[in-house]
Amino acid sequence: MLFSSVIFILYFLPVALILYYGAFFSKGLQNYILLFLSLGFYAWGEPYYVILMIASIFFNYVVGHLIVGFKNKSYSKYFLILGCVGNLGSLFIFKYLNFFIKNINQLQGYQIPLPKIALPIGISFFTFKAVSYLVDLYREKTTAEKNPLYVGLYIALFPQLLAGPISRYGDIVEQIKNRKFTWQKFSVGTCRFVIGMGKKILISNSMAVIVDRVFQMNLNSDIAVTLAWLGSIAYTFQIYFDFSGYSDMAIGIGLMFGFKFEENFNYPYISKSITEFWRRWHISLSLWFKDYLYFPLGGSRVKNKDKLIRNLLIVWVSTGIWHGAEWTFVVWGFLNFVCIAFERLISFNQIDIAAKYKRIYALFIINLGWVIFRSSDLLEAGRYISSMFGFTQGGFWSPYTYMFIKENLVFLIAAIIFSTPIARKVNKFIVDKSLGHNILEGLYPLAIVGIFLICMSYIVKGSYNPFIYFKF
Amino acid sequence: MERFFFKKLITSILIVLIIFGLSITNLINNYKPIIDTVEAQKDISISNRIKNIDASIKDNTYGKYAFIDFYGYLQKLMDKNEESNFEVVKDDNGTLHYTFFGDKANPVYELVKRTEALKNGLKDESVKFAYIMPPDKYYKGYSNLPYGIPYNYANETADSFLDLLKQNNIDTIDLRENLAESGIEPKDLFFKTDHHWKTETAFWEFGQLANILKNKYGANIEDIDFYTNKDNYNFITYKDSYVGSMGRKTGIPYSGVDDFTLIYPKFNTDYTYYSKTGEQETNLSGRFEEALITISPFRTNKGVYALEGDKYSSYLFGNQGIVHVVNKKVPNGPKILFVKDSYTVALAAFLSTVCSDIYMVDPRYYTGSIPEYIDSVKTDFVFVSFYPQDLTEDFFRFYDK
Repeated sequence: MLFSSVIFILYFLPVALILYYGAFFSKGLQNYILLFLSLGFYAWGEPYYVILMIASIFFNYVVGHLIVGFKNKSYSKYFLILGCVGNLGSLFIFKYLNFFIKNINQLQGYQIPLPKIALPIGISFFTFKAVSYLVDLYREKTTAEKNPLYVGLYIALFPQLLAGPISRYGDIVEQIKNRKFTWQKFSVGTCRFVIGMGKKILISNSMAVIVDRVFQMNLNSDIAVTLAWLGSIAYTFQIYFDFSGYSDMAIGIGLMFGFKFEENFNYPYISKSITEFWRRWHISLSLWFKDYLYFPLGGSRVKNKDKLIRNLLIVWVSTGIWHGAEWTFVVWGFLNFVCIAFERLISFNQIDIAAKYKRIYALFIINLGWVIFRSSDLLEAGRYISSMFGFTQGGFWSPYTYMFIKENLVFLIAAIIFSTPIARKVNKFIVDKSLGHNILEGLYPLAIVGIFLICMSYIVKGSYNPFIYFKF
Repeated sequence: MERFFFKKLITSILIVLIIFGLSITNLINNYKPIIDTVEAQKDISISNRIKNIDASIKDNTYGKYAFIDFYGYLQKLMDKNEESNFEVVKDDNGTLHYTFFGDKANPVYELVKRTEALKNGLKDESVKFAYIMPPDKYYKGYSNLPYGIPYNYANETADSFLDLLKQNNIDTIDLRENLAESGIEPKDLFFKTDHHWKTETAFWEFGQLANILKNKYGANIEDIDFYTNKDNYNFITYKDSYVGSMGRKTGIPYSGVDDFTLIYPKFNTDYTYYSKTGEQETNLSGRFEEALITISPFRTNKGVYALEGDKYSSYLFGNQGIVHVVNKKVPNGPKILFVKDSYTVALAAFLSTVCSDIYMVDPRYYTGSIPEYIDSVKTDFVFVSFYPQDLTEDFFRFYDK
């Protein structure tokens, strides 16, 4: 079930709020209601794989107790390995097995049939949460609860089930037990949800129209330089507003139910380096890889630079592969590795270059990376990038370039503005009671209600509504 | 800081009130079709059941067309010429079109091959066979898409298709020719909000076709001048009463509303009508306006968006799997069978005034073998007629293996 759907907004959310707040007298009952709602939420999109989800909850619950129960003996490590193999193994089967067999067949000339396995929605997210739970238990950063409800709710909690943020068990379990309702949380959450809707439905989906058309044209024939750049820039906006919009909705719904999830984005496109970009983009994933892969490998506190490079290579190629089973994701991860390693080796952040040039460099690499990320294979990516730099027969100008800009001008301008912290500054301006704050305060409810109704009109109309991070 | 949260509190109360208001209104007004969908989903997989219920919930959102109107108004405000990923585009005259990104005419070889096979497969060799090409809404010399808006090359595809048919000795009747001589203003040839021709255009083309049948093929059409004379028909125009499939997608503020003219004979008529779609059969008899026109779209008070108000489909009850019309007043007139799309509906209704029998088979709704159906009825003419945008394999569902 998508947040940006009629069934969620007009049926699931009101029912969830009534049931949840109807049980205000018992935190335990509220938690059971949330678990029940979360499994129902997942089952609506994946009626069969909800069994996999429940199995994952019980598997991790049991393994978690084994890790803790045998902590004083060396078995604990083996149970951790069992847990990781179980979680990552199922991720491999559902997400990577076909890719693996396809490559074996190509390399060795085998004809191993490809199994027909559909990718369970959100599997990468809930698998990573499960692994972090087991590792945190092993590291004694958190404790295993007797009641499986806690693990169940941590893994399946519906606001962050499909696209994160990838929270830590310790953060969530504390809130499962002790969260408090405040009007402040509820109202901030509601507004955040609407803002997320606006980012996803209005900006991201409008960019998606340009992106999908231009990338499709690239498959059929050479495209013009300007069109290729427009398509890549539109995708840069699409993926940001899609994913950050969905994160905003998740964080907003979490707040409506009393949970406070960590931020997942912090204006990544104002970064002055790729290293900084990854501190601002999908923050919960970056932190996961840092805590559960980079640091265990030795991180940057290693004796020589060779090991540092090795560690960075492993982390960034893994980050690439996490996003999908295709060589494009490996190359995209490798591109990030090259840039980050380069920036680390030359201490890029200390080099005295004007910030605007650093931003241009970062945006150029980010944009190039997204082209590889968006392409279905490396051939398509190569062809697209060739068009961007005029190495194909597509020419420089296309009437489509003008048309796409003209048709989406409002959303392109909005995308540029809201990629920067301007909204945050406006909020601060209001808080500081600067000149005209009364007018802006008065306009705020109108603007948010307006955005909500506009989004509803797009949803009810059934306008173009792809969701990029759904499959990751 | 308190003021900062106060504005958010007010906003959240408003949003929650709207959500709950819409939710309750939906439940009260639209629970029945949703329940019906739930109950009708007994023998299918859980996934499909959920998909269907989801679609039903979305289709039955209370105030759906108010939201779509709002959406259309926003598109208009932004001066957009395409909406919802090129679902529909608007030309310089404010007329809507279906389109896709093309750079040349579509390949038609397979379609020609199947048409040729259909002709050669006719058991009765005396039957005359031809392809009738209705006009596309993109009318050369009048329609103009804004700079960069994609053009679908449907007319060019139609040209190429007809050329190849001629090379294969298949007769063609191109209704796009001479359209300028109809005396109808280009802006009035087609609905703004729908891809179909207006009934006035279909009526004029009926006159052209009747004359071709008589003069070129020697069809037995008596008193042709009488039957094709518009003075012998009632033309009743319903102002601002019709929103076609495109308008229903975009909303009236974006598309506008069309007038619809109901045309039916003033002279005495006597018909029987039979149709079958799936297991559903319909039998009617009486005058033209009793047997061949659904009156309910003109009387419904459900508004212009309601499917019940689809006036174009009032002729011959819209698209049916198979249709057989018998004109009892012209027993010696030609017998014609159409393999057709929705363009033919109004045309065939008017043509029935000079024919003894009209048969129609629609590949989208008839699941049996089209060649076998053709052979099962006695006809003088077999016409295949799909308008230029329907020149796709989905419509040529005969000899397709």
